[in-house]
Amino acid sequence: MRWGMAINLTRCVGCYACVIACKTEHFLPPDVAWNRVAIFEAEGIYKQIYPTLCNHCRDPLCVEVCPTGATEQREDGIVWVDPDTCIGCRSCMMACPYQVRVFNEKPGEYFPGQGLTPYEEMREKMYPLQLGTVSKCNFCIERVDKAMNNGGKPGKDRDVTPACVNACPAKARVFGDLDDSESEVSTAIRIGRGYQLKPEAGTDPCVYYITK
Amino acid sequence: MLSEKMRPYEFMVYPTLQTAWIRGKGLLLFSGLFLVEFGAGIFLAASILQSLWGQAAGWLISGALGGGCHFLFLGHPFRIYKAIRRPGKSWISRGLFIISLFLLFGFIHLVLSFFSTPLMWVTIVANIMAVATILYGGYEIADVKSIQTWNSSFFPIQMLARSFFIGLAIVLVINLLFGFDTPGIKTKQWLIVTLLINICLFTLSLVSIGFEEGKEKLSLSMMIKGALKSIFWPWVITGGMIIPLIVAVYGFAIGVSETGVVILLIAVILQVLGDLLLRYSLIRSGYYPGLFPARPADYR
Repeated sequence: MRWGMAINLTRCVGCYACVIACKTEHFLPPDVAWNRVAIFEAEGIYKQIYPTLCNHCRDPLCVEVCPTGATEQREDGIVWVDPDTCIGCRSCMMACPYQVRVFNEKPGEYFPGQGLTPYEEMREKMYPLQLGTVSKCNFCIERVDKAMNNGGKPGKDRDVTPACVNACPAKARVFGDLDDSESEVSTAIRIGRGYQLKPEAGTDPCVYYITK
Repeated sequence: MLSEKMRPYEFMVYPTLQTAWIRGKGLLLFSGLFLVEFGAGIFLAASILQSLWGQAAGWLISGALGGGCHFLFLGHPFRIYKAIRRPGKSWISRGLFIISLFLLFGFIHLVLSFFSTPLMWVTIVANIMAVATILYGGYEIADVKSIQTWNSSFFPIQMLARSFFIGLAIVLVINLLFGFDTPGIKTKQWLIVTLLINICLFTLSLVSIGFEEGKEKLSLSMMIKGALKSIFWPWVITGGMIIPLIVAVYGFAIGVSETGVVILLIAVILQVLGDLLLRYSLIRSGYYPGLFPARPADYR
C-alpha cells in the first residue's frame, strides 16, 4: 500500500480551499502553510495554478539527512515528523527540493494584539506545534490511521480522506492507494498521464499532476 | 531571484533563496561551520609549525566557538544526544562525532604537550580529527543536493585547502608579530607565498561556483551585481585578493625580509575577512531552482 495524490490542474480553480482546509484541520498559525497554491502566468499560457504540498516521495531526501530519525517514512509511504525527536537542525528543510517544510517558530496571531481566538487556543490542546521543530503535510495521518482502525477507505470515505481532498470544490484532488492499479488515483494518473514535479531530483514523488 | 519576503502564492515559482541556514538563527550555523573549519585549519597549521599556542587557539575556536554555535543553532539543543543515531547517513550526525573526537583528542594532546610529554599517536589522531572537522563542514554544505551551487564534490577539498592555508597565514603572522620562533622556515617568505596560494584558492572557488551553476549563474550574478555586491567587491575581491596580491608583489620587489610586519598583518586580516565573506556569499546566494515545468512569462 502506498498513499498518493493526483491533482488535476485543469479542474483546479485556485480557490485556496485546500490551503484553508489544511490550516483548519491542523490548527496552523497564520504564517505556516503545509499546502500552498502557486499562481503565475507562463509564456503562451494565460494562468498556471499549482497547488503544492509534501510529495511523500518514495526516496525522500529529508529522511536520508535527518540526524535523529525524527523524519520517518512509514510502510504506507507517508513521510512524517516526530516532533519529540526533532532537534531543529533544519537539514530536512535544506534537503527538500520542493521546499514544503516549515520551521515552527513562535506562532503569530490571527488578530495581532487582540489575543488568541478560541480556535487558536484549541491548537494547544488538539494539535500543538512544538516550537523549534520542523513540520509539514502528513497526508492527514490521523484520518488515514482512523481508516486502518475502522475499515474506511481513504479517498472514498470523507472521514478518513485528507482534509484538502474533501474541501476541493472542483474535485481536482484524488487520494488513494498508488499500489492498487484499479484505485481511482491510479486510474486518474494513468488516463491523465500524470507527471511529478522535478523528476530530476530523483525522489519519485507520490503527488502527481494531471493536465487533461 | 526572489527575496526572502516572498508571497506564498509565488513561493518556488522563481528560483528561491535558501534562508534556513543563513537568516535569523541560521546565521549561527553559518558561523559555526566557519569557526569549526577556521579553527581546525589553525590547529593543523600550528601542528606543522609546532606552535602550541596556535593549536590551543585553533582548538578553542573550532571546538568551543564553532561547536557552541552549532549547539545554539538547534531548535532543541538539549536533544543533541539524539543525533548520534545516524552517523551512517546524516552529516550533522557525523559532525557531532567528529567534532567531539577532535575536542577530546585535541584536549588530551594540548594537556600532554603543555607538560612536554606529547604522545605521537594522540597527536596524529588529533590532526586527523582536525582534517575530518574541516571536511565535515564542507560535506555538510556539499551534501545539499537541491542547491546546485553547493552540490559539488570539489567543495570539501576546497574548504580543506582554504582553511589550512588561512590558518597557516594566521599562525605565521602571529609568530612574526610576537617574535615567536618558527623552526626551520623563513617566516616572511612562507607568509607571502601563503598569501598568494590563498588568492589562487579564492579564484578557484569563484570559478568552481560558475561551473557548478550551469548556464544561469544566478549565485555569481548575485555576488557580482546583485544584493551581495557591496560585500563581494570591497571585501572578497579587493580585501581578500587584490590587496594581498599588492603586498606580495611589493614584498618581492623590495626584498621579502624588508617587508613590514604590520603590512603583512593587514594583508592576512583582510584575507581572513575575505574568506569569511566569500563563504557567507556562497551560503547566502544558495538557491533552489523553480519548481514548476512551465516557466513564468516574466522569468529572466
